[in-house]
Amino acid sequence: MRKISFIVFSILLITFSSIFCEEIINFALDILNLPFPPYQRNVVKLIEAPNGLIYGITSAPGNSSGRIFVIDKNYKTHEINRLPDDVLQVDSVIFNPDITWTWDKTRRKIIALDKSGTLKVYDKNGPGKEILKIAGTRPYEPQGFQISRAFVQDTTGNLYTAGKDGIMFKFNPETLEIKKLQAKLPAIKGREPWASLDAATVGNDGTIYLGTFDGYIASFNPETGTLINLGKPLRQQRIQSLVFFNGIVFGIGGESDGLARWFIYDPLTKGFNLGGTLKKKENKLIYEPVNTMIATNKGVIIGSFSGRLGSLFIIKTEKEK
Amino acid sequence: MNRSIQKNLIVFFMVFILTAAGLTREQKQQYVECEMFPIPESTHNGSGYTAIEVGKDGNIYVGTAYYGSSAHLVRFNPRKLKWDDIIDAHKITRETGTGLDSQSKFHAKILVDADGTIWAATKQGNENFIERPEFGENPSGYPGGHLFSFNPKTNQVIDHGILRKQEGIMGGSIDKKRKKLYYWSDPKQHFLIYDIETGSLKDLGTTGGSPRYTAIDWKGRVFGTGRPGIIWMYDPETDRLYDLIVKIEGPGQYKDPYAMVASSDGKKIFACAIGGEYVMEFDLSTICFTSASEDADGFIICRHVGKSYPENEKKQGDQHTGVLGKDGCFYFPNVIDKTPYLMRYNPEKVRVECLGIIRIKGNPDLKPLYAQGACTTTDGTIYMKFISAGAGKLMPYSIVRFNKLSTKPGI
Repeated sequence: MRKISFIVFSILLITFSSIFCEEIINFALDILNLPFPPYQRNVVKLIEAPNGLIYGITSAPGNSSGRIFVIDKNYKTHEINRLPDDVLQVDSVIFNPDITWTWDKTRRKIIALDKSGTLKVYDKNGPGKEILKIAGTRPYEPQGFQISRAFVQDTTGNLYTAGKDGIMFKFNPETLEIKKLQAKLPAIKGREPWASLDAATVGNDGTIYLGTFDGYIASFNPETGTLINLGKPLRQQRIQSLVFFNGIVFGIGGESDGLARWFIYDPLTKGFNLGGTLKKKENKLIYEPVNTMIATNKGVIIGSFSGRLGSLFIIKTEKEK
Repeated sequence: MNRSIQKNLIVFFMVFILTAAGLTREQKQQYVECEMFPIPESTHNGSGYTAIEVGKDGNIYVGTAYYGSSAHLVRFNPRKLKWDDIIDAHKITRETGTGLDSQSKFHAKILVDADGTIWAATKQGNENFIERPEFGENPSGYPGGHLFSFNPKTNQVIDHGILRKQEGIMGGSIDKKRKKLYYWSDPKQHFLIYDIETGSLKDLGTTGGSPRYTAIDWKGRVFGTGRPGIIWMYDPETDRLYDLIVKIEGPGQYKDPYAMVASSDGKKIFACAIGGEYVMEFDLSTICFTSASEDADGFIICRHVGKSYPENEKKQGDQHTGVLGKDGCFYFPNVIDKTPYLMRYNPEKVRVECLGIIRIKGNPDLKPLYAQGACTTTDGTIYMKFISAGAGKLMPYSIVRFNKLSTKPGI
């Protein structure tokens, strides 16, 4: 009887989950206009502050400076001079497109990977404290450092990224302790130097989902240190961005000179669902790679695509199937 | 007067009036005749686009479209009335792509260098604009458009390779002084600069528009249609792209132009739009850079200088090409209800006029409907390229010649 109940429950769970997924797939993507001139529209970071507001940061092209803006509840953007007072702002880091960075959970420290793959910590403006060089090099590439493009934070505030040959590192921003883990990002033999962490997100249960330069998705349990290769949803290289959203992982990938394509990973069914090219509501393609995405606590995804005319987009799922 | 005589007189009078009116209308109907030269059938399947230009040798170079297969660059010798096949894109690239993945169009404007070298570039055809299967998922995919040069003195063709991976090449302007070719890529609309002397390529990012025509001014600045309501400009002095918001002077609403050409002195751009009501004149002296425009770099003034269609018509039509005549006037066809008119804008007199309905000499039953490209020879003769179409009898894909049409100053 128990066995039958379990089977019935499993079937119901899978059915419900696939219905849910179908609903998610029917999303509508709108462009949010950015009031910035060409070349100054490359939004590289979006954050939701404790006050519920969404802040965005653009990278600084050439001699121009980067910009900071806030998105209001009607999804209109307004440029501001500085981030809120309780958030550390180090201009030499946050506007530099060659630096991978994030805040710690207090938002009073910035943790960064510089151009040569050295982990640094900033608690004020200045050169930052060097922790460890974690990047390896990539063969056959002239400036081939293996630099990850993402950090991810677990529920206790530890940060994770990947270094040489895809080896995962755990960093405690409070104690500044860095630990090389056993876990390695998925890669076929010989391509380990391309196993960099390019995107990551955290599920409700604390599971971390990782996306690599070569296009693999993996799950990582920060408590046990177990990393599982979930597969490669796209034929193309590079996972551009991942976000955990309504119980699923929503991802966008594709090569920078190709087209962005989206997919869903459902942790319940452990299956991928492919969505095809990334299109606006009016069925026009988005041609440029996606930089970043966040899921807001209002249940919408805000993201940015790059390029000279880069902009923001907003994804809302349809309520009706 | 007897009632029946009265009735007959009224009928006779009405018939007379109607006949006279008909005759007057027929007499008023003007035609502008041209000679037709069909493009060899083995080199296309019925169409071709902006790729037409006259070489320094006086020959007309034409790029064809061959959907699903290999496009050709062909040459027309106006003296011998003879066609030559110059480039078979697949033969020279040794590519074997089919359907979406074939080098099926020489779409970009043919460019002629100061030394007479002919430059031509290919793109994909049969596009699926929504899914773009030639990108990514298809294992073979579209390799990308090739850039070719042809030296008419030596008959040598060089394949300079693919300019941008998986993208076709569109547009096209040449800066003979700086030895640079300017194209944009399809579908990503990136502005590409090819340095003829070094063979190097620079990509300045997306333009945000898909102009079939680009214009180059006296300073070497390149202009094209960008995002809606915006003209982009490349300035070689600063080596960057600018977005200029168009401000209209004159009646009507702005419509993004399709065909655009620089004026004789390179200080203005004349343009027309598909379904556009007005001939446009962009005044390049009005360009101003200001931070007042939030998401652009500045402004440019565009004047609506006259209606784009004949006075006797009530609506605008299809305007797919335009060319600068030797007389400095802007010539463009305008097809209204399947009647192809040839229009002329005289910038000196700021006047648009209809030269008549385009008619093929010796073939009055053919209606050349859709001109996709045009060029002007040194004696003022204008060539236009019409796709295979027609109202009634099908016109073959051809170039047509308006002999010395733009020699004299416009009336």
